[in-house]
Amino acid sequence: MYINFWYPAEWSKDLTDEPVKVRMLGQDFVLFRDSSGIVHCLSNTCIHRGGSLAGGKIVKDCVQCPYHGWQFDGDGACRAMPSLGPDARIPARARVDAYPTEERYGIVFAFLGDLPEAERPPIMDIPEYGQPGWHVQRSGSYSDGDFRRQLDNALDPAHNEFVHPTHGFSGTNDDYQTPELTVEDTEWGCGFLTKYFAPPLKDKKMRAASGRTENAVIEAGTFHHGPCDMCTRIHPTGETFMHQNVFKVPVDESHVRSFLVQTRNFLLGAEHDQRFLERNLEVGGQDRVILADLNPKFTPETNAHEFLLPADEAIVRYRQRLAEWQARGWRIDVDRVEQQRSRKAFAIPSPARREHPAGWVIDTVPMMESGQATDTKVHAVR
Amino acid sequence: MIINNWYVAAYADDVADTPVPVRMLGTDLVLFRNGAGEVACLSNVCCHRGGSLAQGAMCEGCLTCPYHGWHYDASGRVIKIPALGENIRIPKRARVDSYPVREQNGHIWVFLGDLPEAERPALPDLLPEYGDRETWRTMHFVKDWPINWMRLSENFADTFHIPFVHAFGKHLSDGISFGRVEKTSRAPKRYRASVRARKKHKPTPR
Repeated sequence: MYINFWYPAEWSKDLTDEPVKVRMLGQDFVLFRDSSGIVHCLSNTCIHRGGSLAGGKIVKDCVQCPYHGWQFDGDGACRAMPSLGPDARIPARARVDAYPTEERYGIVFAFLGDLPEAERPPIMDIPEYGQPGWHVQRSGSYSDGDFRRQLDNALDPAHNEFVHPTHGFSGTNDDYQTPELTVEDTEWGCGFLTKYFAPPLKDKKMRAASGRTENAVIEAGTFHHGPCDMCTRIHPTGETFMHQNVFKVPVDESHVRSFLVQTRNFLLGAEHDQRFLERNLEVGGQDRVILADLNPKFTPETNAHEFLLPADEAIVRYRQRLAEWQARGWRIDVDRVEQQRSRKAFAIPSPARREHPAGWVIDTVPMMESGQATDTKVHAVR
Repeated sequence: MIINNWYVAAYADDVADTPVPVRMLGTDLVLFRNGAGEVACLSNVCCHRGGSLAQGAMCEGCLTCPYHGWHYDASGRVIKIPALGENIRIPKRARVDSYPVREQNGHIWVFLGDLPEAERPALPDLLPEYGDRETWRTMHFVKDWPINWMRLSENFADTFHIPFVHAFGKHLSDGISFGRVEKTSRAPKRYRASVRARKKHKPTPR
């Protein structure tokens, strides 16, 4: 799991007048709105005696610890310690980590890391969001597993034929061949758009909705952005576009929460949402069956223990990016966190720690050293 | 846990036209029958991206991975990669472990290890009476024991616990004694604990 990226913390609509606890990157955070409607995200651990701030209340634009009533403002600074009386001078050390937040696409994003603003990777862009002629549909899910396995799967153009019979085929065509892949790098990721052979969809309604009743070659592909976000673009015809923008956050190493913001330029009415939701669930379920039984459960630390092909090129580049981010010191050392679970609280480092490195009560999560060089070779079998 | 040993993996009848997952020695394996009806046993992990082969379908005597349709033959070699199309030479490295298999007495035995055939221990012939339906009745049952295999094996070799642990032992007729241990010629390196009874037990007629 990687710090220094924007992660989706909660749906905007689900954050009202109560603090909300969310677990991200294996740590707990509290989200709350102040009286002006601005969302704040703090480390959930009270520095006094470890109370869970999210169990408290919002008081005077602060979150109040349920244990002894300490109040922390949106910057993480303690504003009140009731047992010292109202006139007590609160030491500067009495603060918790606070993380930058931004609401976009109906999602509260939190920047989990300590990079200064100018250096932060941006939130994944959805250029068509809010544009006329486009409909937005949101849905969320939790899943078991490693976010890297899920991203690998999204960047994999060769599994549809076998895993997704809903797409009209199921590995039965002898002349099947994975389309040529030209992987394109972006500033914070990579991906591809390619041409797929596509029979008409099996589901009648979806077939009508897609506008395709004959065999066709359609354009589709996926780009990832950062370690956890992705956009799958499906263009059933030259004019109908559907983009599955997925913002993921690892709850911990083995669980992922996904925020889907689907944009489409056909079937614009909300009355069609249920049909798309059901289809997403069905297709997602097909992937889950496969991913649940992959061995090992997590993506291997080296590509040397897999047999990768040219069709896996985007996966290889994704893993190269992960290795680069690890080399920058952005990868959490999950094993060391786990060794001390229940014995020691940790916090993800926040930007304020760059300005004030000393005097924090809670230690930051241990980070991994730069990893071994990832084997980037794919087998040139052709 | 010990490799280079024959292990019983399944009832022969249970491996028909779909792959069967089995977990042995802490690893996942898959059993299937090839086109000639012979049973094969492979490591269950596709060498491509870790798909569980036991979830796959049979295709022309090959086991196919559910993730990208790679075809495995009984020797564990990949003989077709759909993503690459026809007429490609598949590298030798595209393979998974395959284990020797024998069918005997209605069971499928798998040799989990790397010894060459000449050095492998013989398939244990524990049931010489199997198939003798005139004088023997056969009952099958299979059970998963949530305990260490060595504790269980030792328990089966331990006669002395019977009257204490098993209620039926208290109701055996006089003259049955536990605990006489004989060295036998049949298994010279082992000790067989025998339950000696005054009356000779006759098998229950079928």
